[in-house]
Amino acid sequence: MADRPVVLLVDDEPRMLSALKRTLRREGLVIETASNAAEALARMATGPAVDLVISDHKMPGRTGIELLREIRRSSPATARILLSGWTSEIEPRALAAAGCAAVLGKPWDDAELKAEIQAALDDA
Amino acid sequence: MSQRAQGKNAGVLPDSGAESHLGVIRVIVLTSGTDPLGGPAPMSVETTAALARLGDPVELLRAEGPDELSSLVPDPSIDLVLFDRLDAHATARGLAAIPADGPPSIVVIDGDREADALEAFRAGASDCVHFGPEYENVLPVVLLEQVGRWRGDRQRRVSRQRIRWLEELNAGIVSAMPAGLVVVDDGGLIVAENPEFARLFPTRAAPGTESTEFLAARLPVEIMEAVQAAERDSGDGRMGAESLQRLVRASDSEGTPRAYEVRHRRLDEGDRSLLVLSDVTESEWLSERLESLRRDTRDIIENINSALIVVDLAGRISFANPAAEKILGGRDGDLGGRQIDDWFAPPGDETNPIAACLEDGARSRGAETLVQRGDGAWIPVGISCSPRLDGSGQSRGVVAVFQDLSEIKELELQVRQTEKMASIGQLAAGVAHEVNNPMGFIHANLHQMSEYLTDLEKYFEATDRLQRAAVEGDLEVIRAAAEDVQVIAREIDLEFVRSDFEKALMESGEGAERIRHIVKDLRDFSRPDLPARSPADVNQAIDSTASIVYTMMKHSVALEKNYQELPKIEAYPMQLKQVFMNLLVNAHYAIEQAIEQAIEQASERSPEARGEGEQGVIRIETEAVGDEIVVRIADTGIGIPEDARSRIFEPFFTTKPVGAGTGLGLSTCFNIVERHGGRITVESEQGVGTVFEVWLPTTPPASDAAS
Repeated sequence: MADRPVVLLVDDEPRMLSALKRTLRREGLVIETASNAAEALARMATGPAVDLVISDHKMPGRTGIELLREIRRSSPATARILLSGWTSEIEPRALAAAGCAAVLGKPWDDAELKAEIQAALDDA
Repeated sequence: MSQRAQGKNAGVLPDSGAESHLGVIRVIVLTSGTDPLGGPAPMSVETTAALARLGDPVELLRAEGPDELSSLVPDPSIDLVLFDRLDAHATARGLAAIPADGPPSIVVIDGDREADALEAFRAGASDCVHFGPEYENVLPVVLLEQVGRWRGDRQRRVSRQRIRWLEELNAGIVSAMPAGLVVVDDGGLIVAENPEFARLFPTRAAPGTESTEFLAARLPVEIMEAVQAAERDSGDGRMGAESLQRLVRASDSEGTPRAYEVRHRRLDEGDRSLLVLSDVTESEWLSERLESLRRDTRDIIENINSALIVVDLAGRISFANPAAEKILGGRDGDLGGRQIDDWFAPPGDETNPIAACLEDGARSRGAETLVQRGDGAWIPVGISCSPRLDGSGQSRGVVAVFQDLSEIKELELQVRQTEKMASIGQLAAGVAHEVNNPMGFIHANLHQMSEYLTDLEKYFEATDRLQRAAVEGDLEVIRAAAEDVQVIAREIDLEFVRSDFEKALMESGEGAERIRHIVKDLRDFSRPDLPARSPADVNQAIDSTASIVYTMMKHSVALEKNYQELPKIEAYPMQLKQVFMNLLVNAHYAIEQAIEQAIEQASERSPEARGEGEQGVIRIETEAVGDEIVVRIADTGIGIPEDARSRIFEPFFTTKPVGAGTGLGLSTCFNIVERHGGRITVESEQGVGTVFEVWLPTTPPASDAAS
């Protein structure tokens, strides 16, 4: 891999972003963060290409599912993972429309999370 | 002109008392001159004698002049007018008074004056008789001849009139009859038809063409078959029997299915048949409909689960359906005649809806009362009573429909329990999410911290070696060990690990504190109620509820609180919290709906301009007003549609999609608040928001039914 893959983490909980960065510290990734959907979309529109977005669902403003659906439309090459403690509340059709590579619950299993990230990046 | 009339060949009168069958002969006689005593002069002796020689009795009517004569002659029973030797002028005037179709007239000519006779004939006399020697013989013969002819003519005239009248009547009936009539010959050709037949089965022949159509060309096949069958039957020696009648279903000329009644009758004269066809679709349909209504009504009454009884004015059961028999313990109508008091007068309870309805016609709908079942057990029933009114509005008794409520009461309890569980489930999901978030990062941090620890152990091992080398004092070894420490410190990024370890520890501690807080809220919220009312702090009840519920709505809702100091009230705090939770959850739902609508509208305008960060507000206020306290929960949600506002407290009423709500939340609130002697009010404006107010008395009523 020539360049390190760029991963954008989206969560309104700063402690969550901090813990995720900590977990992925040694994975050879460029980690960026956003605290809501609007910030994430702004980042997608400007900086270097993002290879993977990992988003929470329940956030102020637009939900994670809406964000990932929008990204699927505007940046189809970017892989998407939903990471939420609220997955049972999500309507299956809305979930399908977001076309996620994986849907993980909180708390997550570190090994599983890393494996899903790797798989999503490999597929992309 | 009769020569005999002149008396020359006067026939001989049959013997006196000759056979005659004319009956009473009514004759108007005009004489000349006047009687000295007044009135017209009497007839001559000769004329009287001549009339006496007739075999029939004569009724004489006297006319004094032409005016009187003309008033008498229209009487159809007048047989003759006799001019008894009047002068020529008076005779002519009298004759002129008799109409052309009036009775015959005989003029008696004095002596042998031919000129007078001629003049009389010209003036219209039917015959003339000379007053001569043969007068008494001739007059009766001439008279009988004239009367006989006149009566014959009259008879024929009447008969002709009657026949004409009958013909007209017949034609009128045939053309006005609401049935199609058609006469056909044995070749199947239509001989005659009435207008109704032409209407029912319009001709296909061009207008004005000679109607020589075959019946088969006019009638539907189904009717033709019936006609042919009737012809066969009448051919089986049943000719002249009563007409044969059949009901036939066929489509009319426009293809609409109809029912026809077909009658067939052989006519006596000629080789012809008469067919009478009536369209009976309507009456068929009506009678079928009536029958099916009757059947349906019976089926419904016999099969509905609701018990139905009819009670007469004396309070006796006159009808009970099977469901009623099941509850009241009867069979096959053996409840008939028994008094409703046998079942509907629970001891110590005078409120019997049936009795009330019998007394003053009071209707009741869904009233609850007790009924003693056939097996002696008292069961709750929901009952509706209506008076049975006759045409003039007088009561003939009562129809009562009732239903065993025991099972429903049981179910209601279960459903209320379910509702409680559902709200607890919703709450648990919200709480779980709130716990899962800190748990998520604590979990990740723990994992990471143990990795940091592994790294640090490597570093500590190196520093241990350096420490031991320092003790031994070999400089070479010390330098190597120190280098090793540096390499490892670089390798594990010691500076970062040290600071991040501390950060992870701090953040995890904060997460743990958050969880502790949530658990405390949960405990505050869910402290079980004491079995009796106890002094409760309503501010504490609403606040602990808001804290718990807020965890699941904080993304879309800003919470504003304004609590005034409240006196403690006697209450079941957990039940009040259930009320507040329902109201807050509803407020949250209404806000989510409003946000969804706003996002939809925004994206309709421009897909890129979708709303971000929309939030609603829930404002909670409490205050003491007089001897009541009020908890006000106001939201900025979509509002309640006007038509739903009056129904929101009804059990099972919901505007949420199927599966999203049981429709029991607000009805539960209503019951709980009522149990506390309070009330709930609602004000709402669509697109603006809703305000619920829970009013509770500071000193609630003495008795209640805790559940």
